[in-house]
Amino acid sequence: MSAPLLTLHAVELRVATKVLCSNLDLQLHGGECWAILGSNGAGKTTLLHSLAGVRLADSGQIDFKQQPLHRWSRKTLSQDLALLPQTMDFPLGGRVMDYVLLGRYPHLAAFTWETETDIHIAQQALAWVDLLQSAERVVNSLSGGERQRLAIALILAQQTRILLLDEPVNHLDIRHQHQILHHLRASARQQNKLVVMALHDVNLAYRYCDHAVLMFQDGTTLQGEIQSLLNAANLSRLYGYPVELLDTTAGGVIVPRCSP
Amino acid sequence: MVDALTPPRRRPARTLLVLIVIALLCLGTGLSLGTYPIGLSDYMAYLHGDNIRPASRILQELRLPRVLSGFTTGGLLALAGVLMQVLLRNPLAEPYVLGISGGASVLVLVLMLLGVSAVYLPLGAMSGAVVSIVLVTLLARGAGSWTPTRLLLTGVILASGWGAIITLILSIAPEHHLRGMLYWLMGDLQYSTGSWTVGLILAGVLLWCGWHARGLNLLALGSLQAATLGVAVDRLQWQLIGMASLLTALAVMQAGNIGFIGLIIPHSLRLLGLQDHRYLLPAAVISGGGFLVLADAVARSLFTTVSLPVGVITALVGVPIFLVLLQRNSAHTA
Repeated sequence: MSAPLLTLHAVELRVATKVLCSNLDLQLHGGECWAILGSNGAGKTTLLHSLAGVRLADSGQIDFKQQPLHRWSRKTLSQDLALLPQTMDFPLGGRVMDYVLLGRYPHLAAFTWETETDIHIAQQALAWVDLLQSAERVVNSLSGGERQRLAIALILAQQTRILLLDEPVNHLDIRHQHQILHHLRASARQQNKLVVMALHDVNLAYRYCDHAVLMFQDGTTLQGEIQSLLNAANLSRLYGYPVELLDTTAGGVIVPRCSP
Repeated sequence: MVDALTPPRRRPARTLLVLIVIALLCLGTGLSLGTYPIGLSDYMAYLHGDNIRPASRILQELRLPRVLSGFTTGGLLALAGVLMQVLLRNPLAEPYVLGISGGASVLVLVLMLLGVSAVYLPLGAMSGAVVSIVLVTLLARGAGSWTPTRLLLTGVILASGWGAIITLILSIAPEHHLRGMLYWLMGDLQYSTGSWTVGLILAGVLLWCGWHARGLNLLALGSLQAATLGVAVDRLQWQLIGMASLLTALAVMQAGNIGFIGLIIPHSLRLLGLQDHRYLLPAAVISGGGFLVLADAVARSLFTTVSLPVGVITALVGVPIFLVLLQRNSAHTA
């Protein structure tokens, strides 16, 4: 197997005095699609931010291509690593196309302008999230789901090998949830990208991801291939609520039990 | 298929060109209007080297310096407004409304009272502005949620605090010590002598902005997104604080507390489709300068007997725009 893109060595993450995870060792390779699962406040976002290098691990070390993350300049890193934040707003207005083109900045040299190629890439990214028709709309007129798709288009236009996404399907309808997750998984498999996403919907994780990190409330973690991790016992403990695994024609489905 | 859907690209460069023409017209108006109107023949004579005719003397000694300081002050304030709006990610941020000019004024007044040499006054203005911006940024961000309401409240309170201190200083200070009260509270170009140095500094800051314009576009997305798109966020934010303070401090040194330019100009330009800071920043300088020169010309010639401080005009135009903007802003966040 090729060298990992991101490696975590005994990482500990804390918020105030709460330990979110400790002694976490992970190797994330290109071609993999990871889900980070956990209940509210379990540390999914914090872990993603640490992987993106915008937050230092409280102990341990995270390497990108065998070099500590924090030693890379933001500019270099931005050509290889993109992060979709949990919420995104556009307080100063502007048009959809202008925002997607921001995703091209990491690839532009100083004092140069976006070329036809950049515009083409941005249009492609908009097409993937079904927003091409809205390229000239002002962002303030977009609905919540459309804003989320715009934010996703922006990081797709960034064309990085690593995609970190914090709840990418927030506000999305069923069709767009599946369309976008399908596209993300396809780009992991076909273009050897690494996709890591925090998800709340276990079923979506089960269907689209091949690996998972489970972050438990007590600060312990489990990681590995998703098939072996997502069983009723682990998930019931993860969410503090009993769940069951059902076999359906659409594949395995995880449902909460009726009465706890 | 993609090509058929390719939307027409807007033409910000053309908008910029139109703005330059309008600004030149404003400059012409500013030079011509006043108690002694200057006509075309006077300009011709002046350009041919005449410096004896009264019109030429007025142009040379009064109008040109005043238009120069009006233009630079307007440019400084509009640019400061744009930078603060990116820094605070809020279209309502503005040096006057948030008390940044107020802080600069107070420090200058204190230094003047203490009899400190005039050489150090710009430094005082600068530190007053820095202290105010840092205060507003920290207090408004503070712990917890970061809302336009909180930012404005912090800024407005700070501004009225500085206003009170200015009034206090002016009432206890010996009259001859300081220039008029209105100057520090409303802003006036009457005492300004016009300085090419300020113009040069403005041009320098604009160049710096050109270098960082793409970073500013990214910073408008929020610091998290900006960082993952390649911006050294902390450094850029501190530089923005420094630049916005410098611009505000220079404007205050030239013309006291002129309000709302940093609000009206960027807002109107964004409505014209200039969202991209690579266009917005130079457009703000040009339009801010032109607007203030025009406003000053109006202030000088509105009444034949008195010349109004230009801050009155900018406030009269700015307050309604501010209120509309505030209303629309809260509608979006709701």
